[in-house]
Parts: sequence; structure tokens; C-alpha cells
Amino acid sequence: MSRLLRLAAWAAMAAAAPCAAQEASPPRGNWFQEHVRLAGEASASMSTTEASAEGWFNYSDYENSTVRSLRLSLVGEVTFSERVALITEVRTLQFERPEAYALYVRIRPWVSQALDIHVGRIPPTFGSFPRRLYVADNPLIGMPLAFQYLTSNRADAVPASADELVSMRARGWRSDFSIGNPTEGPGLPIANALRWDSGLQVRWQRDPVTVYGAVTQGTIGDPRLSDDNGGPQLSARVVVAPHPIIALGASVADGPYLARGLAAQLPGPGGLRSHRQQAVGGDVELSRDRWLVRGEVVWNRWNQPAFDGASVRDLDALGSMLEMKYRLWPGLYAAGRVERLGFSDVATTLGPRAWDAPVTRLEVGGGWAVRRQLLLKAVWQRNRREGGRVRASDLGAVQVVTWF
Amino acid sequence: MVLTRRVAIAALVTTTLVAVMQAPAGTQGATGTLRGRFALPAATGHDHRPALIEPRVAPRPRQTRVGVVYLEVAPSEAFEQPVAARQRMDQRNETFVPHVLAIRTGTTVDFPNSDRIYHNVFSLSPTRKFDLGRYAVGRSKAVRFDRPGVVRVFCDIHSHMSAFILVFSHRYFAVTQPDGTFQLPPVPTGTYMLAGWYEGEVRANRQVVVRSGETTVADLPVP
Repeated sequence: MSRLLRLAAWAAMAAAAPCAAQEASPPRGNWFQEHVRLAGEASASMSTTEASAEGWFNYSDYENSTVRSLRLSLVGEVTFSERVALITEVRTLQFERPEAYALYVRIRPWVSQALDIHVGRIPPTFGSFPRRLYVADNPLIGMPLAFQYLTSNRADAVPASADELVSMRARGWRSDFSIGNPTEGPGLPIANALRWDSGLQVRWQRDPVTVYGAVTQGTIGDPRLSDDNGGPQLSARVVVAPHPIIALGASVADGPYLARGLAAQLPGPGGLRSHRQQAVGGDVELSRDRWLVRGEVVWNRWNQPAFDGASVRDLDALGSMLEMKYRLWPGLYAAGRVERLGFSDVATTLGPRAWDAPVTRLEVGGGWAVRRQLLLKAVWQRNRREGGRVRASDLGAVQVVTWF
Repeated sequence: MVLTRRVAIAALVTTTLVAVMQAPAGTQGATGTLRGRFALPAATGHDHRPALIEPRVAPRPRQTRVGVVYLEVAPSEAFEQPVAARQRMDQRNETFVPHVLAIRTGTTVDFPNSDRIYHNVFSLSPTRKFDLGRYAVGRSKAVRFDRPGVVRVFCDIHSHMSAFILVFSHRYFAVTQPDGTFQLPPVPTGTYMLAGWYEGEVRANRQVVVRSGETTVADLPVP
């Protein structure tokens, strides 16, 4: 019996020894554990008002409301070596067919240099908000107007006149023009934070500066998996963080945005490539103690084809937002965001009018981390629009977010 | 003369206090040594989410994982002296150092920021909830831990940063060496339940008998 115990003790010690040593040197053979990282996130939002009743203020190009949605995502990172990694996010909204929102290879040519090349469906280059990928990174439930609100402008259909254009004011959730795709469909947001573009991105960092440059298939308002007009978008971003308290960012983007299906109907000699989306953005983040303040401004121009005079009509938009978060107590915070999305005037037969209806939004609320990986949010949102059938909408919303 | 008497009294009081604090709990003098090896479980996977957008600029140093071994029910003195110790949990290279800190109730832990970036140390653990807010390099904030239990520490800015603070109401605990070996402070003679904690869980426990003047070797294999 004692011999058996000694044998068991010896076996236990023998088994324990390599386990203890594993910390000093990673276990051999467990490639998955060493090279694969997985994370999942689930969020469910519910608002007091349906999207149709609230005037589609929170509608996205996925044709659901961002304050009434169910989102499940699985994020994976496979590190093949110090130089090469594969990153992906597979996501489903409302239990619809899962889609790879992100799928790219990260290459670091020189290990000692913070220079990365991303190829595939890559992270957004333009703006600050789209880089807040995880739901918990957004202190509120709604998204900033500049990165979600659907304007009436479309990539595959254009109006025959300025009058037709303004007739679609506040109809971005289901826009309809006489030239091009005759089917009603969602218009373009200035920058789409819910969809990633495909292409190549270079990222270089040397404190306190980080620089991004990208060539992609789509545009910031219409990120695409494949090219639809033969012209790439160029975008760049610079972030300077001179002190931990502050980070300043500036972004630019320029690329043709119209779909190939419109090519034969375009006026003028320029073709698809002469109708571009151009945007400039600036953002700032200030943080200290329990405060976090973010501000972002995006100026955007679409060169829309015009058939009633000049061959190009400039549709300008300016989105601006200020967001604050204050941590009241461990796990409990209050937050608020105020923002406005304005549009330039176009000449109509009735005089100059904004080409889409300007929108203002105030969202206030808070979050409570019940546990480290379980966050509850509640917000109240006030929307006002200077046009359209529904001009005002006040709603409440709650959201639960969990991740692993 | 008065001064000499005062000095003598002060010396006596100090000596007594030191003796009381140094003495093992329970039956003073009748203690034994308790040491052994806690077979640390294999490291689990990464406890943070993938870097989906921003890659890590520099690989963080691989922290050595350690365990904590302690007596589940420990003898206590009738008038246990409260500790007024200070410990330190640093923030370096987006990592809490050390990853595991074991302290006694009453200990104050300093959380200095030794990084060039902001950190926001917080905990939602019922044992001690706190939120130190954001502060930059060179600054430090402190938290006092008055209740026994496990405190999970995080950074609100960097989700990959985490650490543990184990707060004990007695002194019979030890953080293991990286190879799992440990030795507790002198333990009063008796029979105890020894527990091995690792990364948030009690992974092993066993009964041990401590005899006066003897060394008890108690290894903790994982069940």
C-alpha cells in the first residue's frame, strides 16, 4: 500500500514539475493556446419607439435601428509569427447570416519598428469614432450622426434635378431617385462606422505620433468588399498625443463613390472617377481623473452628377459632436453627447435649400458595470430635424452588453 | 531622571509590541514550519481581447504566474494587532506588477503609474470597490484594504491589464515562487486546512498537521 502511495506521490511530483515550469517557458505543442486569441461580444438594445415611429433617426444601412438591435460577434487573432497575424471579426445582426466584418492580415516587416501593413477587410482609417469597435467602447447606445445617419444621397441612383434631390430630404432611410437603380434603398452616411472597407493600410507609430494611410475599394460612406467603379479611395490619418491628457487627430479621404451602373448615364466627360467623396475630419480626446471628453468634426463633400446645368453638384455636409463621460462610482458612469449634422444649400426652383434636412441630437444616459464583463446602459435621446414627415423624436433605450 | 524613565517605558512598550507582533498566533512558542510546493496549473489562455484595430506596439513582458498558499482557518490572537503596512502594485508596460499581491487587512496599496500613458485602476469586487480615475506617469494613488477577500484589479483604459489582490485577516499565507515552492510564516502547532489559490480559484487543498519545532512538507497537487 505504502509503495503504491509512494508511486502515486512520485507520479504527482513528476506530473507537477513540468506544469510549474510552464510559466518560465511556454508549453511546447500547445500552439492554439499560444497563438490564438478569441473573444466574443453580445449586445441587445431596445428602445421605447420603433424605427418607423421615431422617424428613422437611428436607422443604419443594415436596415435596422442601432438602438433596437441584437448583435453577436466573435473576434479572433491568430499570430503566426512576430511578423504575421490574421485578425477577423465575424458578426451577426438580428441573427441574420454571419458576416466577416473584419478579415485582414497584419504584417510587421521589421519587428523592432512599429510599422504595420494591413491587407484585407481593414480597420477604418478616417475618423476617431469608427475605431471604437467594441460596443462597450461607446458610452451611450446611439451612434454619432456623422457615422450612422443616412443622408438621401445614394451611390447607385441620382436625382435628375435639384428639386428632385430636395424632395428626398429626411428620406435617407429609403431614398428614391429617377436615374440609376429604380429600387428604393438606404442612402449613404457620411462615414459608415458599421462596415469596414477592403484594401491596404499602413500604420506607423513613433511616440507621440501615429500615422495611417490606406488605399481601399470603397469610400468612407460606402465601404465595399469589392470595387464598383474602378477608382480607389485614398485616406490618411494622423494622431498626435503630446501628453497623456490629450490626443489630437486629423483625417482626410478622397475617392470616387458612384456605382458602375450609373456610368452610362453620367453627364460630362469625367466619368465615374470625377464624382468623388471628399472628407476632412478633426478630433480631440481629453481625459483626466474621472473625466473623458471627446469632440469630432467631419466635413464632407459628394460631387453629385447634375443634369440641370453644370455637370456636377457639390453636396456638402458638416457633422460635429461633443461627448463626455464621467465616472461617478466604481462601475457607474454618466455620459452625454450633443451633435449636429448640417447640409449645404442647393439651388432649386423655389430658391436655395439645404439638400438634406439638418439634424440635431442630444443623448444622455449612463452605464453600470454589474460585473467586469456585463454592462447595462440606459439613455434618453432627443432628435430634431428641420424637415421630413417626422421632425422630432424623443426616445429612451436600454442596452445590455456582455463579452468574454 | 524623568527622561530616562520615559525612555525606559517607551523601550519596554516597544519591545512588548514587537514581541506580540512577532509572536505566532495562538500558543506562543509552539510553532512549526510549513513549506511545500504548489503544482501550479498550466497557464490559461490570454485574458484579454484581440487587438482588432491597434496592434500592440511592443510585446509586453511575459509575467511569471504565481499562486498563493494559505491556511483556510487560522488561529488568531485575542487582540490581533492591526497592520499598517504599505504595499505597491506598479503599472509598467501596460501591466500590473506584480500580477498577484497578497496582503493583510489594513494594508494600504499604492498604485503608481510608471508608464508614459494614462491608466485608470479600478475594481468592482465586493471586497473592495474603488476607481482611481485617470492619472499620468509619476503619480500614484492608494487604496486601503480592510476586508478579507479577493480583489480583481483592472485598468479601464487597457482591457488587457488585470491583477489580483488577496486580502487576509491573518498572517499565514505566502505567495509561491515561480516554481510553486512556498513557505508560510511560523505556524502554531495544530491541524489545518491548507489551500492553494491560482488565478482566481482555489485549485487544491489538503489537511496538514504542524508539530512543534518540526518542518512539515505539504505539497499541493492539482486534483
